[in-house]
Amino acid sequence: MTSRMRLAAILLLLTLLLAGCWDDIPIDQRALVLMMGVWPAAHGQVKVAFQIPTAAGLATLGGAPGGGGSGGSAEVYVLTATGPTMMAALSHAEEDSSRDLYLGQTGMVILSSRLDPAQFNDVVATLTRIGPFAKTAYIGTTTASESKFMNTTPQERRIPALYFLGVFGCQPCLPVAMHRTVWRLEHDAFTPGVTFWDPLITPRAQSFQLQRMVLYRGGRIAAILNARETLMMGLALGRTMKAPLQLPGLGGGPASVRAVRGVATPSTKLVGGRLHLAISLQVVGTVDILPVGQASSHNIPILEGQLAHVVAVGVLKTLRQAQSVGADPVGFGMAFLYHNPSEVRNWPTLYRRASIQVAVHVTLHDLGDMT
Amino acid sequence: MPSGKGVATLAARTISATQFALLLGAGYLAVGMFHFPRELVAYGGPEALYAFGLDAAAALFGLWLWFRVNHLQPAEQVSAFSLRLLTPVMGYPTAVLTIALHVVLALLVISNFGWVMITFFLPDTPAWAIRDAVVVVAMYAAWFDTPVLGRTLQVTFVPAFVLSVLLGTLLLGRFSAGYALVPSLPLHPGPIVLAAYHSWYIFWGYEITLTLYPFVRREERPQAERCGYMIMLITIAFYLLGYILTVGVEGPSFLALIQWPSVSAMRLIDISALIINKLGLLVVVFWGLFVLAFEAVRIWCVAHDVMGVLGLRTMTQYRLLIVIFGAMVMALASLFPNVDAVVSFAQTYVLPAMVVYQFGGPVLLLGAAQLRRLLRWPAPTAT
Repeated sequence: MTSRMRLAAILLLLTLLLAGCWDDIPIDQRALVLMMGVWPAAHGQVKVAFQIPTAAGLATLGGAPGGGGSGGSAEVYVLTATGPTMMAALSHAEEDSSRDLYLGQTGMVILSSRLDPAQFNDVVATLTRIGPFAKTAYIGTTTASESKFMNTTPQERRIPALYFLGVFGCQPCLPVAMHRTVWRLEHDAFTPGVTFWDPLITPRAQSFQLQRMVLYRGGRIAAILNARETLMMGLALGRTMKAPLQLPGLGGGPASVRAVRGVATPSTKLVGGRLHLAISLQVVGTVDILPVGQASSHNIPILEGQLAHVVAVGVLKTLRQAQSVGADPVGFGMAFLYHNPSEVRNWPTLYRRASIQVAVHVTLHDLGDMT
Repeated sequence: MPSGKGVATLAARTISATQFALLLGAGYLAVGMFHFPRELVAYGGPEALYAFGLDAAAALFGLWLWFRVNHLQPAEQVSAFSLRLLTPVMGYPTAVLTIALHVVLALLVISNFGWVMITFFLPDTPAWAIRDAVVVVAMYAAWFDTPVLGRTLQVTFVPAFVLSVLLGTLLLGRFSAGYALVPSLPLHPGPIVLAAYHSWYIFWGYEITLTLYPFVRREERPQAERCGYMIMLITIAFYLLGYILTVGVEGPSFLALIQWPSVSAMRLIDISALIINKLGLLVVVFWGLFVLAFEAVRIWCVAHDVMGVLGLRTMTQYRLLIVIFGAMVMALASLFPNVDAVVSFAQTYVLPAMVVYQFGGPVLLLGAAQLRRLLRWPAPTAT
């Protein structure tokens, strides 16, 4: 490399590196927001709350055992601000903070279940517009108050990479992959033919519980599914990973299968002005417990039939429940409306009156007696 | 390496077929990679892929047309011989338009990049600081003329291109709108043509072959044309991959609302366990290399076209022109108050001008040459 090319390379590198200095804010003058939440406030305003680590908290985030920071100090503090809009509340928070509020590291956004549709839409618009905000932050809905939620600090927070896995990795949460990102909220909000769904996150003493799904419609919560319905909707969404399910069994008592997971393929067809929704599920599971003496490969097809029935009935019931409240978390309408844009106006009526068919194909593995 | 002193002849500053192709690719790739496929999806809807096919076919045909123009006088720049071919009355306006479009394209690309950078990376940095830094480096890249520019592109352009493709494939994990990739039937010519027209910006700039071609070594010119088609096909494949990934990840409805769909998609690449968790955004920074290459090629083109028209030959004159046009780009780029002004200006004024120029230009030049042959009225030879 000649000296001129070396000089060119150095200049190029300097251009890339030095440009960042203009925006440089020392780390001690930044408030790194780990979690942000939005709640309704009095007089139609919204309250934005930020969970921000303290210096002691930042020291423990390094993974030091036993709270390696200064003993007894709070690991996080919560900054709140209100405003008529979320953007105004963010501005007020910036004014109230002696440090620069940095949202680029935000790992989670919480929406209160009590936000009204106008506030919800304002939140969506604001999240879409904030430039440095990470679109890959997780998003969840809670019925808890701001103070209760924001002061919950799960054990996993000590290891930064696992902080938010702690939320989505609790034992009862495992059957359905409930993680949703802000990105999906924005996508669903601006895409016709799909409604947003979100995990319901409930704070506990030192953990979060997450096993229920919230269905939105038009910025309003349309339904909150229970754990079993969530599991079934998870199958319809192709997000169920390792669900346990009880089956009627073979006469000697109930049987159970575990690690049930599946791939879902939704489709739509308009016949004679009536919409037909169909979902094809390829389900795989593993035989878990069988009554004594029935552990035979001959019984597997029977159990497969039972599992197919349980899944088909459960998924159909949950989809009809969503349909009855006008929620379409599966997004049946996305492909349909994309290829039939003239039906956008008719879609709510078409969807409400649509027939639903669930086809299930099951493959069960029998790993034998592991004990 | 050129000495940088005294008179350097055209023959001494030749490039290889590969360098020609890279310069050609660098001359148009940066125009569309940030905005594509927003207009294609917004205007084409389910028929966007047909519109893209139409654009791709038109680009290949357009390149073929410009190569035919180059064959008229392979060793001379079109800006110079068009003065004789079209007579000065039509030749000068054509040459001025050629030079003006280089400047306008350089302005649009650098302005857009400035807004990308302050939106996603450096919100407190003035846009002019980002733009001017890139233009200054681009001027330096063009400073030593064609072969050095070609070699610079070889070491920057190709790795950035390959890295973009490799990291872009990481988006496959976020694929959720496969339905939007299936084109609809029956065909509706209206939306297809409209989408192809509004997305034509992705191929603005391949006409730099009219300036570049004479610098290719004489024996490598046929190979250079093949390489030119090859880089065009690679670009088409690159955009097709970009279309599949951005539409598949963002969905067509949301994508049409996003200013820079490809940048928004790349910022979704998130590897939390890696020390650089926003790896996709880092790649977008490397896209600055495409912008840098584009600006360097445009400044180079302007200088050479002006030299061809005015009959200038020395390296000193060439460098003076680089400084003048570089400064012009830096000064004029600040006229765009925001990215919407950039897009609006591009779609309203530059788009029709480029369509007319890219297809009307070769038709005019080839027609004039044919007319002269029929009338047995030879164009005056170069002096």
